[in-house]
Amino acid sequence: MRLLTPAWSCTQIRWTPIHHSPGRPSRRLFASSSTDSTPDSDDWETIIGLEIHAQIKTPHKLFSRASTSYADPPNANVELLDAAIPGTLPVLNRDAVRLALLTSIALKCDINKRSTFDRKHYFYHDIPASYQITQHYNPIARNGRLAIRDGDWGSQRAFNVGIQQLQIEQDTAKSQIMGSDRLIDLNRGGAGLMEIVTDPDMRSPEEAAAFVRKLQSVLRRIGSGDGDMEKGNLRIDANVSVNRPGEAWGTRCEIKNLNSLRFLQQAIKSERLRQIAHYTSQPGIPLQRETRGVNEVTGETYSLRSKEDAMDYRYMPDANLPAMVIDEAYLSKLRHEVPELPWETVDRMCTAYDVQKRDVETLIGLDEVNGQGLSYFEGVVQDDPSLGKPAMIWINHVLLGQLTKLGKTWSPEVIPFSLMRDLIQAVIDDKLTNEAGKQVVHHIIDQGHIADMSLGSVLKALNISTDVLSERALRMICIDVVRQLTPKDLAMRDKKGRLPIGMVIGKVMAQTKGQANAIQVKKILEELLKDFK
Amino acid sequence: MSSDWQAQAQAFKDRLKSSIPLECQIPSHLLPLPPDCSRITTSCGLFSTFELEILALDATELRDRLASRQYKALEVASVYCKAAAVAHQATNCLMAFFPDVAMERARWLDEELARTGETVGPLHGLPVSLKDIVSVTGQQNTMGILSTVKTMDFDAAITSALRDCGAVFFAKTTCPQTVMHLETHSFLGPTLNPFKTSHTAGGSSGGESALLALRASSIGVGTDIGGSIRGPAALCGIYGFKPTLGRLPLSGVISPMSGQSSIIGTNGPIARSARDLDLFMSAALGTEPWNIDHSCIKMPWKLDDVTFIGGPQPKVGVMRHDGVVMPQPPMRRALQVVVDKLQAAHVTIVEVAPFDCKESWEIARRAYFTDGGKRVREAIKASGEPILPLTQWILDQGAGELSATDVIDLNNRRTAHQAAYHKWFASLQIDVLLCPPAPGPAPKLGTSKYWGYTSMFNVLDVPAGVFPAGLYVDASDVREGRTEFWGASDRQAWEAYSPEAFAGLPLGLQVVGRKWEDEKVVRAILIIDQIVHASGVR
Repeated sequence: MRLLTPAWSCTQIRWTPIHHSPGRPSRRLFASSSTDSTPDSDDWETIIGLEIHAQIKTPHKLFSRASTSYADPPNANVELLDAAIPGTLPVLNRDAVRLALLTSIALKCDINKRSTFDRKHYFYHDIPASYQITQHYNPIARNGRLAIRDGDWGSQRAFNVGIQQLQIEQDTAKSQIMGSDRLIDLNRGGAGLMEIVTDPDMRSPEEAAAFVRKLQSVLRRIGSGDGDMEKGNLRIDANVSVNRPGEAWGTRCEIKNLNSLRFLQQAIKSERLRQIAHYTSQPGIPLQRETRGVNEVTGETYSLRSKEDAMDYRYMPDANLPAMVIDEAYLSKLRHEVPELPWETVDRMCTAYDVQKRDVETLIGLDEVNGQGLSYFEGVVQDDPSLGKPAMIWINHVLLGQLTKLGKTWSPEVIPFSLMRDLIQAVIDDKLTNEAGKQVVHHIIDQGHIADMSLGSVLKALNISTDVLSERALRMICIDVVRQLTPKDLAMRDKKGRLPIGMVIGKVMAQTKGQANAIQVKKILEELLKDFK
Repeated sequence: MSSDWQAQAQAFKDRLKSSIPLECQIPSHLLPLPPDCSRITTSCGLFSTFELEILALDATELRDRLASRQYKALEVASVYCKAAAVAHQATNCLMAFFPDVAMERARWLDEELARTGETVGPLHGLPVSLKDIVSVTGQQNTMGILSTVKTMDFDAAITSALRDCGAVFFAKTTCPQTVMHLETHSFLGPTLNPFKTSHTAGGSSGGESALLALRASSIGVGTDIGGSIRGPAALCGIYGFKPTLGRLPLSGVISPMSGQSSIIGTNGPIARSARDLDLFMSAALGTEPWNIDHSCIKMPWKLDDVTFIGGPQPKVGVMRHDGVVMPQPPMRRALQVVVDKLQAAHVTIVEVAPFDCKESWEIARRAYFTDGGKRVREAIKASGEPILPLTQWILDQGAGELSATDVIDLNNRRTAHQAAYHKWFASLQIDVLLCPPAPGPAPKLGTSKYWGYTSMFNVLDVPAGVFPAGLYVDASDVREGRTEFWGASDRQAWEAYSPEAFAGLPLGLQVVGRKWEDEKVVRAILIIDQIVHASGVR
């Protein structure tokens, strides 16, 4: 592979006389000195299209029975076919097809009732057969779209991302150089992939990331993929070009193998600036259409190969695999199987419980695959929609807030939903103050596990009574606290002689072990301190 | 405030100076340069014979050799960059110098030629320089005013057409403050005439004319609203052509009076041979710029379709003077010598009385600054730099800020004048008009105050070009005794001239046609030039 020197790098110029001779004249390095302000890069539009490879989440590879388990030792999951042993034949994994179809339906694609498989040829260590089985000519789905809403993961507008096509293909093996050896792990080789190609509909790194996040949520909800970029189960190539508003789109460059959302955004950002810098500093040379990699340390892209070096893959239909015919009855059955998609859930819950979109998304985000966050919420609320709003506050803000503070993660077992429900009910019924409720949550998280997870026993352990203090008792405590103020406390008075009320409230709350209603305390104290000198 | 603009100007000049490498500096033993540094490239010792050979060629020949791979674009670009650096030291003609950009471009052109076997376009590898206000992506425009210095992020339409043709841009050249002198003087200092550095290189495309006269560019892009291509080209002994407004795309050439449309400037070529004018026009229009830019008409360049009233040769009307300022003696001699040569070559000559040139100037001087100069005064003031005397002079020629009614009246007057010229021209039954492009050779720095010989053809909006008569001022061009004058301008022109002060300066002449007959004018220049310079290409 040839590495091209970037066209905008330093230049060599001859300043000494050239004599007409066939030999190469001497050259000197010339450094430009006039590097004044460059035109504003905000005047440029960015056009982004993505190509996504998502591993299909099935226990077996696409054309063999070998396992797709992630953590196994190298070359543990290899059937003869995966090693391209002559005489072996591919057998299509129907589950993979089912998942690809469900995904296509969720992406509103036109399903191809008769798609075919092709061979893409190239010679490399990671592909023992020297060809990859893919769907080049006749993919399983085309013409879909995924709607991004204003505010989705930082997107500044609502727009559709067109899905050009979705195809099923084999993954390659892992190839790695160690010292003088090249090591091949065939575990991944032959696993099923969905390649999803979008239209160039995204206009910023944030929009590209929003699309990927949304696609991940679809894959997880459907169960067709875990979308885990860290494990390499979701890999992205980004096509980027820039142009001035109103002018034709520029030459696009493809950035290969982006394996995290951060790199995706960083790579688009730096590629965009690189292209703008080229157009503004060297307008006399067309931008080379090329394939680029990203340096994960600097976030900058570098040239891998130019378009002219593009390989000829000799695509041809795979003779071992007949056309894949999808029965209409099967398809309509699948259409009913598509689960509620994340944004549909958001819409439904926002309407049913009068809660915020962001809060629902937080719940979904707790477990995108199995939806445990949502079931937990529904367990708390059960058939009482009026509990929706307080439940959202107690789960998202109190429970998750305290977990985050303590560096712990959520699971439905941390506080069983029945206990949470009782707790919220007690607060609503004024049997428990907010503060006491929070204390309960804190106590359980802190203890990690409590044998008797009933509200009564936790309250008992904390020595909290379910009788909220009467106003009279509370007033007595307040008077007591004010009497016992130390000279040090009094020194905190301001110029007008007023005490900082928060400090006094704190003392009262400590005294009552949180059993008092803070708002009520504040009211009493304000009254008491009005004439306090 | 004053030290502020001076510091800014100095910083600009220093930046420019630092872009010239040590290797290109004129050896110190040659300094100070003599008043005549027209042969500096040959005499400075910085160029090999091979390089001087490249510099000696006109654009057409150089283009042919590049296309036939005799030279590499990279070789040519580096030689011209070096020559431009030398020319700048002699005449102060550059505003921006970007050899690194040029080299990268040239290298790419070489690669494309090697890869595809074909040239990128009809100007493949030609080093092309551009006047200040002709925008080039990534380079600055100044308009000769400090406060308006700006790095452009787009190409002018003509720039982009030439780029499509395969041109290599390497330098931008000076223009005067407000782009409205017939000299070239701004915060960057004056641009000097290579033949006599105490005289002007002309203006406002004086940077181009000095650069090209020193063979340090292959073709230049100038602009002309009162003589700014023709004046400097004539004063530096080279060729220039101002087409009819609209033949070449105008977008992206930005003057401080953009929006004033009673009289509009156009861009055009400044070149080192007559055929290079044709090369420029045919290449630029060959890109069909009307498909991209709104500012030019769909009218392909058809030089071969020209037919002359006079048969194979043009019938030439000779206008010896404009009736306002009598040309100085060497100019009258040049015109006579050329007329004699044409007659000897059987070209039909018709003596023509001057058209109403006084009216042309009356219209022009009011039209240039219909706002009374408000915009340029403010722009100049913004940095604190002073208004230069020649700026003040042209502003003073105006009639203050005009009302909308005044502008309508002025435009009607202009249109009537154009119509009259058209009829007058037809009645003469000639193909082209031959006349002086200025009262005389290059004036002393700071004294160029008569625009009439060129500005009238801007008011009339007709194609006009200049070519060198191949003659230079010598001792025989004595000043005749005169006691009666047509007016103050006439007297000033007479007084300014003396053979001693002007000796050695080149003389050029102007060829003018009718609206839209651009090809005819260029064709006539080709024929006349061939007769005048019997040896052909200079």
